[in-house]
Amino acid sequence: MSWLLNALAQGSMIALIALGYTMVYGVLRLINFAHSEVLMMSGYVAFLVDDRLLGGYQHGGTRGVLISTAVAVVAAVLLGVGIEAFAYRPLRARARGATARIAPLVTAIGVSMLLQSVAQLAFTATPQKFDPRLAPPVGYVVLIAAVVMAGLYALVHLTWIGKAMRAVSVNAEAARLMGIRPSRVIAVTFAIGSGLAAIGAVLYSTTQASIEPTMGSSIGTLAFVAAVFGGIGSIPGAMLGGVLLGFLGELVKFTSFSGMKDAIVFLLLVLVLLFRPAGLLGSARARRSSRRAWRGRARTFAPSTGGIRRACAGS
Amino acid sequence: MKRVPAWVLVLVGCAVCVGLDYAYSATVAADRGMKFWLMIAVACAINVLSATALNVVNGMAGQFSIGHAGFVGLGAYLGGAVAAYVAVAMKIPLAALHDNLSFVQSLIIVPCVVVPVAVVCAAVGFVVGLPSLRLRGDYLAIVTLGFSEILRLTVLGTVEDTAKNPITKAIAALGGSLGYRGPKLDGDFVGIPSVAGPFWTVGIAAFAVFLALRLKRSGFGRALRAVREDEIAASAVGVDPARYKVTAFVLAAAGAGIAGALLAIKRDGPGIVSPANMRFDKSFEVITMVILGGSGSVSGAAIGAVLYTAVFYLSEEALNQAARAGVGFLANVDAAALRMALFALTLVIVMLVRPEGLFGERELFEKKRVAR
Repeated sequence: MSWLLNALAQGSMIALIALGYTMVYGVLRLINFAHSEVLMMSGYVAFLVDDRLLGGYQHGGTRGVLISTAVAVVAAVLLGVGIEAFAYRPLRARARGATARIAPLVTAIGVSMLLQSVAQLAFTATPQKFDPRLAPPVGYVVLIAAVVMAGLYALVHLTWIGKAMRAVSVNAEAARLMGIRPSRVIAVTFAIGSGLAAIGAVLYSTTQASIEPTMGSSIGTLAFVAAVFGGIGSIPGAMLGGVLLGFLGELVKFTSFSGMKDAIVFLLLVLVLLFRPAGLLGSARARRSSRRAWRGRARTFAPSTGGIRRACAGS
Repeated sequence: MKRVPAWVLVLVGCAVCVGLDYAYSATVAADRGMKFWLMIAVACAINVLSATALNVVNGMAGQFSIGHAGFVGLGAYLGGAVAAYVAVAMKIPLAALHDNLSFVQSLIIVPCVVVPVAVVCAAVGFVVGLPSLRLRGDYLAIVTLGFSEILRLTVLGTVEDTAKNPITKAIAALGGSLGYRGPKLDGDFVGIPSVAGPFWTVGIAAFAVFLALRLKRSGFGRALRAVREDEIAASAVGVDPARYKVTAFVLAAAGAGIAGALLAIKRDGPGIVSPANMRFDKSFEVITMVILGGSGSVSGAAIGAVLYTAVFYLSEEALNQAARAGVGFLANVDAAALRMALFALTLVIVMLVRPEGLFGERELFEKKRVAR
């Protein structure tokens, strides 16, 4: 029973982070490599605020963690929106032709490497750890993740901005004609995704992983695989993918391949991309286009090309 | 002007490279201090080879591969192993193996290394290139990244005591995170022989650049460009995108594999192959070289590689000098991280200001085409 709960907790933390990838991909058709670095940075912010300002376990206690989480969420939102404004937005305005496809990707990778090295410069490569006594019980992790995800679901389906996000993800150009400003929606999407990543980072670093400059690439990759697995661009897909990946991780521990867990995750990623690029819950549109691509090799289009060009035109 | 026959060029090129080889040995023997500069030059040559290979798939064919380090690492492990076994088979004494081998010995060992590495890496490149038929852009990039990470994590995660069946035992022999130091002989590691002098490193790099230039101007190069710009239009005029995309991957993989092998067996080399060669940072380095120089431009990518490598080593040296000279705050700076930050920042700025890189698609002495 505790095994089940552990897997669920693992999965829901992965899902929280995966949501950031999937939401940005939904509106921008861009894999935001820098997302994992936002996660890492917010982990550092939370740790430093809790440990240096609030006095760690002795003085701050649980209240300290809550306060530092709030600070980390704010920092992550600022960082995420800042990255979007300074790195991605200028690109959407000017990239064209063959570079339009690759430029955002290169920039995203560049920003990710930049943040990682800046973290290494500022915080050194030495891993930092929260006091283990600050770790919330496993049940709370699941509860927190569930509440946050329910909130996100409500936001996307019940509010005006959620409707705008869905509209932009379907067709940015048409959304613009309906009076939605895609650039604003994109900024909000980055903000929400980054905030969720910060919550995920705090949960992760209090319960298991230490905080280090490369934590983004290890945990972020896991989350990214979850997003693709569930169908990138689909919010319930990311949740499902995260939980499934959590269970997979716990199951691998019982086999003799436990040292190869990360390699297995990547193998899963490659297989999913090859045989079901739209993922488990990917949109019917993406699925259809991928099936068509398989039949007529000449017309090979993943759902990426049209979207980013449309998104470019839209802002 | 009369055209110089190809065989004359090849002979002259070989003679120059042999001269370089002996000049290298002579310079190092005369002045140890020169070794630093020569090492940079050799590193430049190997990186030029690597960047030229990546340029075929990223620049010319317009497919975005971010798993280049996987091929480089594969070539390094394979080349290191082959070189070590060939050296052992040649009955070179163990003491001599830890030093540089002679030029005559390299004439036997290096071809034995380069050919199988190129063949195996090309085959693997074929397999990794197949997904490019289905996937584009970011999805394809992720598959290539997945490939290199699977290789790296498999080597890292398989260690002696968890190895049970023959396959995992073989992988465990690669040494996991400690790195591969060749097979064991009388209980001692043979080490990767340092055998490939400038004749091989500079020679192969120059040949690769020449080949890439010819490739770009050939019908094959034009077909690649057509596929990059518009697959539907290309297939409408009889260019099969599938064939060209996969071939580009095969060429890039072979080139990267050779670059990796040379990295492992170069003269004054490390004598060890570490899985860090396959880290994503390494792919990122090569991508930076190609993008800075101008993807699609052969000379651009080569110049990008030289620039990057030179700045890479010189900045480290400069930081060390400054720290020794007593510039206090520099002593505690993580030089590798600072360098990475600067390169990443440069890349982002280049993407924002001049997304086509230094040269765009033009070559070094090519006139700018007038837009009509």
